[in-house]
Amino acid sequence: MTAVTTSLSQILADGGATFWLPRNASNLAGNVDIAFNLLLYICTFFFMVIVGAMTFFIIKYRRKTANDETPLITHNTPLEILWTGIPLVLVVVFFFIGFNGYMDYDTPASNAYVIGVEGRQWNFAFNYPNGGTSSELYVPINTPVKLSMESKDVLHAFYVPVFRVQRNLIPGRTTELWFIATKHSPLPNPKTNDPGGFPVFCTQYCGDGHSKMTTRIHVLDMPEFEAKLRELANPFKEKDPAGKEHWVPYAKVGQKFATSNGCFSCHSTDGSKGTGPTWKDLYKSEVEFDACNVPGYTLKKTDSDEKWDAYLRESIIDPPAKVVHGFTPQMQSFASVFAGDPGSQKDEKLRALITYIKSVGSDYKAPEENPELYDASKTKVHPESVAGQEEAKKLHPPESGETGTTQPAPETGK
Amino acid sequence: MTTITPDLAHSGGVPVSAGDNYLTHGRGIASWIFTLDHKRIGVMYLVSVLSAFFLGGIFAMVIRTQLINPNGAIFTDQAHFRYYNEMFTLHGAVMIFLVLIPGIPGALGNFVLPIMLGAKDVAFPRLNLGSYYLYVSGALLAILAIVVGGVETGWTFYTPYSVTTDVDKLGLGKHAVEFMVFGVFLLGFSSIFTGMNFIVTMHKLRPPGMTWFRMPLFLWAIYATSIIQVLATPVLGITLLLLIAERTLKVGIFNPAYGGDPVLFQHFFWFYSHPAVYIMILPAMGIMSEVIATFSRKHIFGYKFIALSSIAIAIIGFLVWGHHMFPNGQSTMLATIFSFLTMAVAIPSAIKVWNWLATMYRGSIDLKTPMCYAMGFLFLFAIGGLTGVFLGTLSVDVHLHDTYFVVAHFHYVMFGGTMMGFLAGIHYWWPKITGKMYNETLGRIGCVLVFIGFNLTFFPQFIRARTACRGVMPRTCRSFIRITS
Repeated sequence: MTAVTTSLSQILADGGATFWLPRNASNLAGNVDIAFNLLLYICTFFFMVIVGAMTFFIIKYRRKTANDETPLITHNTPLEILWTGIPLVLVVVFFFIGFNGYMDYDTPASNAYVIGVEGRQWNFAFNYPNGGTSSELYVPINTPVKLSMESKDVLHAFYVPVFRVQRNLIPGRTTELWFIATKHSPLPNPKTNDPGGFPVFCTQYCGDGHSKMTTRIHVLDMPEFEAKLRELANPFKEKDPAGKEHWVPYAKVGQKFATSNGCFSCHSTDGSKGTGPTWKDLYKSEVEFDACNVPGYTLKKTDSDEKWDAYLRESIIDPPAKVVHGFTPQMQSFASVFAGDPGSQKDEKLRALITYIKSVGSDYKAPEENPELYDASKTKVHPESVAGQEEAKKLHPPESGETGTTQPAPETGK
Repeated sequence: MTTITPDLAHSGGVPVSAGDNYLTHGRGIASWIFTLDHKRIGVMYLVSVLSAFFLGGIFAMVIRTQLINPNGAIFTDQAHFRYYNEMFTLHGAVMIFLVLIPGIPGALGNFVLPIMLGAKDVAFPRLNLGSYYLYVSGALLAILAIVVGGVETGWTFYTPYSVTTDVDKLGLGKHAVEFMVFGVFLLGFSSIFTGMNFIVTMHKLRPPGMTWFRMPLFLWAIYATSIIQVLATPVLGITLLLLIAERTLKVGIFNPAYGGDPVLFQHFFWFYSHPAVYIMILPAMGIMSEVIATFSRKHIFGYKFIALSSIAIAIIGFLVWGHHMFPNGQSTMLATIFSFLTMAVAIPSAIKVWNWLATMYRGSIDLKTPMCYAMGFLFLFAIGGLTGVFLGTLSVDVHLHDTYFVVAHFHYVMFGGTMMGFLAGIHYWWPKITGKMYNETLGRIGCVLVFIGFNLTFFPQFIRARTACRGVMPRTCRSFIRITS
């Protein structure tokens, strides 16, 4: 019992939450809370009336003898009109309150800051106007934000309980959801493993990973938000604590992309079986296919780096082309994120992702950490990019096949 | 009292003795499976529906057991979450299509409708048997679907997920969803035939003197139900056929990948499935009107208001389906209209509740088992109905849509309403059906257990909406665990 009361008080103390509703943190939450509480009071009142009358009658008019006489009462029209009229007036009032709130929810501010949302089985990806992408949403506080949402596969929904809003993501359509965040979100705390931010859920059942399809919204002050945007727009560069810029190794950049594109909702890195094949020791392993677009195609341990690169590339751009044994072709194409001409930013992103996939295993030797090599003040381009390698080749002719692993592979299967 | 003269024509020329009744008259399995007697068909429905209820209950137990701890007690990783998804899909599909929809009309309606009306049987006894066998075929197809692959589309079969997902467990091809959908299609026709049969029976087989406003209120409820069954179910049938066509022929109707529109499916689906909840609840309301009047030893209060409120629910119930789609890409105008009409449908339900209470006023109330269930209905349906007003309010629905609040509301109406009514009816007519009286003490204990157990299971779900738990997922919310541990 004490456990129950303590946890109830914990819940009630949770940042302005009530017993029935989570805390509220947006311009649209006020109407919902007022309507909800009004409904709660009035409905509780009517519930008391119904159950009270029932209990009273059961006790007062309980059968006393087997031959109880009862009066013949058939109807009473004024009473019928009364108990039809009062609920009718009340529900019309509720309708108007709800309608007002809905119109606010449905009418985005014209000056809203637009952020793109892509839903996939089973993650959300956010695209900012400056080209940055992320898997958790960052929004400025007290600023109208409009999410322009689309689904790449099946129905999803974007639900932010503390904002009191949700909207479906529908394949083939663009839906909109807007809000003004009015409170700062909790900061991440690595010590307690708290990711920070406000929770976001997919509420439309979308398959095996539906329960994992969650993310967070981080509400930041405008200067912090702008700094975050700059960081998101250039995932290849990082500043160290001293403020010195350096290039991030491709394997690490690739890990960021894998996170932000939700790869881990299907592909594990610890060898456990997910909806898709695990990435652990995938590179240079023996792969069997259930379906393949090239007759007689095989992929073996001993195959060349180029063949493996081409395979990984194709599996991201055109996933159903080759289906690994024991899996179903569920993955959607990531061409819109990763397909580009060699040397373009999209292509470099893809190469970084492939580098990361290769690094999840024992057979891969990462390029040596060389602070000089990754010093952004000394090299204008990323040392692992196509341009960076061209440059490196000019300066130092290649000595071993090591650099070959990051060579751009020719497009295949198209 | 009129004396019953043995009817030689109907007893196949065999003289009917005094101790003879519908249970003892014919013997052997063939006398049951080929019977045209509405009473025997009713009993066969009762047995089938209760078996399906048991099966759906097992699925529910798996769901609740899985959710005992936050990481899942049975299926612990994503590769196995599919089985959880199958469980809630089957729980929903079995409970709705095999229990709630055919339950009261098929079992109790078949048994008591001709008797209450004063007719010898329903208008089309062969069609009646046919609709029972359609029900059985639909159920068998659903079981086949479970065996060949399992269905995890959710009971709503929302596209495009239902068009693309499938598993092939036995190597017979990926057709589980088609089997399931076709099974539901057959169940739909079973429902249509039953409804049609009852409508014709009530129009054509009322004996002289049995005017519309002399019919028992249970019959009014069944009449309203039948109208919905006949008018709404064909839309579901067509939608399901289109879904099968889309899966097998790859024509674009609902799947945007083929040029279709997934929101169209939702409109079609709810055009049936919202009226369908009135197919489920109206007969239970009819039972309430009978049971409360009987055990209060009173004339029902406001007979005409109750009778016409059933018809009002049937009519308005057709025009509220869009409230399932407020945040789902429906236009603002439609959402507004649907919200208003949803509010309107609360009124006839409220009228019934007030009239039942007024019937108890100055009565002689005897808490026999059926009346206990009826009181349970009033308590639970009050909560279910009132929380429905929350969900009809547009802005509040945008917050509560697809959360546990909806799951709780739905179970309060469907179990707290329909199943409590069904249980009241089974006890009420048990002596009529079997010729034996049930044990009153055990009946009351059962009712109290059901009432307490139901509230313990479902009331916390209203609070889970506060912790923003979604309705459908294999792992529980950690924040809720704090209350229970």
